[in-house]
Amino acid sequence: MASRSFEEELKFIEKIDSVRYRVKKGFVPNMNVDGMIYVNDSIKDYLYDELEQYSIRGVNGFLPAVKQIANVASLPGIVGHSLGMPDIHSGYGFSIGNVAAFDTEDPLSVVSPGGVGFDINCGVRLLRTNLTEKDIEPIKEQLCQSLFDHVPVGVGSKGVIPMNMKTLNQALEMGIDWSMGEGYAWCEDKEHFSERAKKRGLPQLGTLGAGNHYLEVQVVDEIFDKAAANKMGVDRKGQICIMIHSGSRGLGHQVATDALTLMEKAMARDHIHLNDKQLACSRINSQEGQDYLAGMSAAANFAWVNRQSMTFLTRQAFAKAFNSTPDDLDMHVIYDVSHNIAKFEDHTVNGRPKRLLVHRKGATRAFAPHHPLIPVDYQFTGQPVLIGGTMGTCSYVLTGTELGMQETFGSTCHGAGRACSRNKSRNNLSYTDVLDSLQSKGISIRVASPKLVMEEAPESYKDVVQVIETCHTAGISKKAIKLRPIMVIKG
Amino acid sequence: MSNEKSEKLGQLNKFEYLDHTADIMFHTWGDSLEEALEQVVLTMMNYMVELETVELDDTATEQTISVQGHDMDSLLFALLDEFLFVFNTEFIIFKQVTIKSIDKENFTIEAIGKGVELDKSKHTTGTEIKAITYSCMKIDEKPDRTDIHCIVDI
Repeated sequence: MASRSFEEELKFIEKIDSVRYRVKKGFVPNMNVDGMIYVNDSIKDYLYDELEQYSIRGVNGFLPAVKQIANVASLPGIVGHSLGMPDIHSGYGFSIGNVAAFDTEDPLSVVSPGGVGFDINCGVRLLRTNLTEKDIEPIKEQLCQSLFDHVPVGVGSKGVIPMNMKTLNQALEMGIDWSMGEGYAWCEDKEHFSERAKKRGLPQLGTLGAGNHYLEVQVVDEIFDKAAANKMGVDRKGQICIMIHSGSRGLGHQVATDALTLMEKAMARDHIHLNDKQLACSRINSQEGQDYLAGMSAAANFAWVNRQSMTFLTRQAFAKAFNSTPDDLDMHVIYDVSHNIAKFEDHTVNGRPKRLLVHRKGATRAFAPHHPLIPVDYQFTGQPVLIGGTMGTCSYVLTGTELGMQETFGSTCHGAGRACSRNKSRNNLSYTDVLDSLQSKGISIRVASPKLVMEEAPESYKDVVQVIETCHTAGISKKAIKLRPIMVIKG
Repeated sequence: MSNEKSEKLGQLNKFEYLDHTADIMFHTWGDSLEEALEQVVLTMMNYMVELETVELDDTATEQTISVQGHDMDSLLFALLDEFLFVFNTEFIIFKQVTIKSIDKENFTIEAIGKGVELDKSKHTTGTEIKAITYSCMKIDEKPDRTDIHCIVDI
C-alpha cells in the first residue's frame, strides 16, 4: 500500500456533526461500506494522533484504529457501517471498540475471531445491595481484604470452585444452568472445542484474572433516569453496588488462538487475501467458521459461569462481613453484559429485515425498549448497559435507544479505552503517587501485582466521562446511573 | 538496570519491552536464532512473573517442549503458545530455556525449560498474557545476530 501524507489521509475522513465522523471508501483498498466513528472534540485527538504517527512512521509497526475500522469495512458480507465507538483504540486485527455486522444471507459473509477478541465474553456484571455507604464505612478495610481473600485474582491464580474435566464439560454446555444446579446461582440470575482450551480453563473457573479486570464496590453517585434506575432496584444516592469485570480466562484465549491458527492456514489454502493478515476469518458456513462459533459459545458460557462463581464468592464475603444473608442484603444481579462477542441478531438494513452476525469487540449491546430479546423488567427502560470505568474512576449504567438500533445495530461503548501504552504508564507514574491519589479519593485497594497499579492508573485511560457523553449526545445510548468506586480488587 | 538486578534475572539478558497502546511488544536478540528464541520465551515469562524473584532451587524441574509450525513465524508462535500453555495449566515458571534443535525445513523446535512451580508468597506476579499474536512479528536472522519482535495480547 502506497503511503499517503497525513493531510491526504484526512481527506477521507468527513466530520458529519459534533460526534460523528465518516471514513470514506478509498481510505484503504476494497472497502464495501464506509466507516463511522463516534467521538467528541475532547477525545478525537487520540484517533488523529495515532493516524498521524502512522503517516510519519510508514507501514511499519501497528495499524491505527481508523485504518483498522476501514480494513474491516473491506471484509466480505459487511452491511451498514464498520462502526467505531468513542473508546476505540488499536487492537488485534479489529480495533477495540469496533462493531461490524455481516449478512447471513450472503454466502461470502465471514466470521472473524479478531472481531470478538481473545477474551471471549469479557464482560461486566452489576449486583445491587440494600446497603449504603454509611453501612460500609466502619468495616471498609476488613471487607476489602475479605473480598480480596474470597475472589482469586492475578497471574497464576487458581479457582476455589471444585472442578474436574467432567464438571467443566457440563459447565461449558449448560452455562449458568450448571451454576444453578451446583448452588452457585439464584434461580433468577439466569434469565465443541479443543482439549487444550479446556485444560487452560480448568484451574481458572471463578478467578478474576489480571490486566484491566476488577471487582469493585461502588456507590450510586448520580441518578440520571429515575424510572430506569427504579426498575434496576436502585432508588437512592449512596446505595452500594458491586461490579465484576472479567471474562473467559485462559479457556477463551485458547479458543481464539486455536481458531486464528486454523483460519490462517485455511486462508492460505483458499487463497483468501485480505488487507491485513490479522483479520483472519472464515465464511460463516465453512467448517472453520462453524467450529469457531461453537467454541466461542462454549467459551461465552465459561465466562458467564466465571462471573457467576465470583458473584457467589462476593455474596459470601458480604454475608460474613454483615453477619447477614445475601438475600437479606438484597444482593440481586441488575444485569450482565458481554463486550467481546459475536451474535446472530435480527436487524433492519435499508428497510429490510435481515439476520446478521454482529461482531462486538470492546462494544456493548444496547437494545432499545420493547425489544423482544430483553427481559420483561427492562421492556420499558431499554436494555441496561454496564460501562466499567478504570481503577478509581466512575462507572455507568446506560440504557439502549431506538436510534442505536437504527445506527449501530443496538451497540454502544464498553469503557474508557486506553490512551497510553502500558510501558509509558509504568515509566511515567509512580506506585505511591497512584495509591496516594486513590486513597485521597477514599478508595481502598488490593492489587496482586504492583506494576499493574501504574499500568491501570486512570491517567493511562481516556476520560470515561467523555466517552459516555459522546454516546449520550449521539443518542446511541442514554445515561441512567453513575457509580463511584470505594473499593477496588485487582489482579 | 542495575547490575544486581540483571544478575538476578539469570539467563534473561538480551531483551526489551517496547510500546504498544493496549498490548506489549517484546524485542529480544542473540548471537544466534537459538539464543534470540530462548530470550523471547524468558521475556514472556518475566512479564507474567518477575524472574528476579524466582530462584531455581532443588525443587526445579525440567520439561521438554516440542512444537511445530508451517513457517518460521508460526513456529515462533507455537513455541510461545506452548510455554504459555504449560504456565497456565501447570503453573511452572521457567527461568532457563535451551533450544536443543531447530529444523528449518519441517519447522519444528525441541526445547528444554527449567523452572519451579509458582509460589505467590515468594514470587512477584506481573501481568497476565492472554495470547500470542502475529502482530508485528519479525524474525531477523543474520549470520552473527538475530533479532525477534513480537506482540502479545494482554
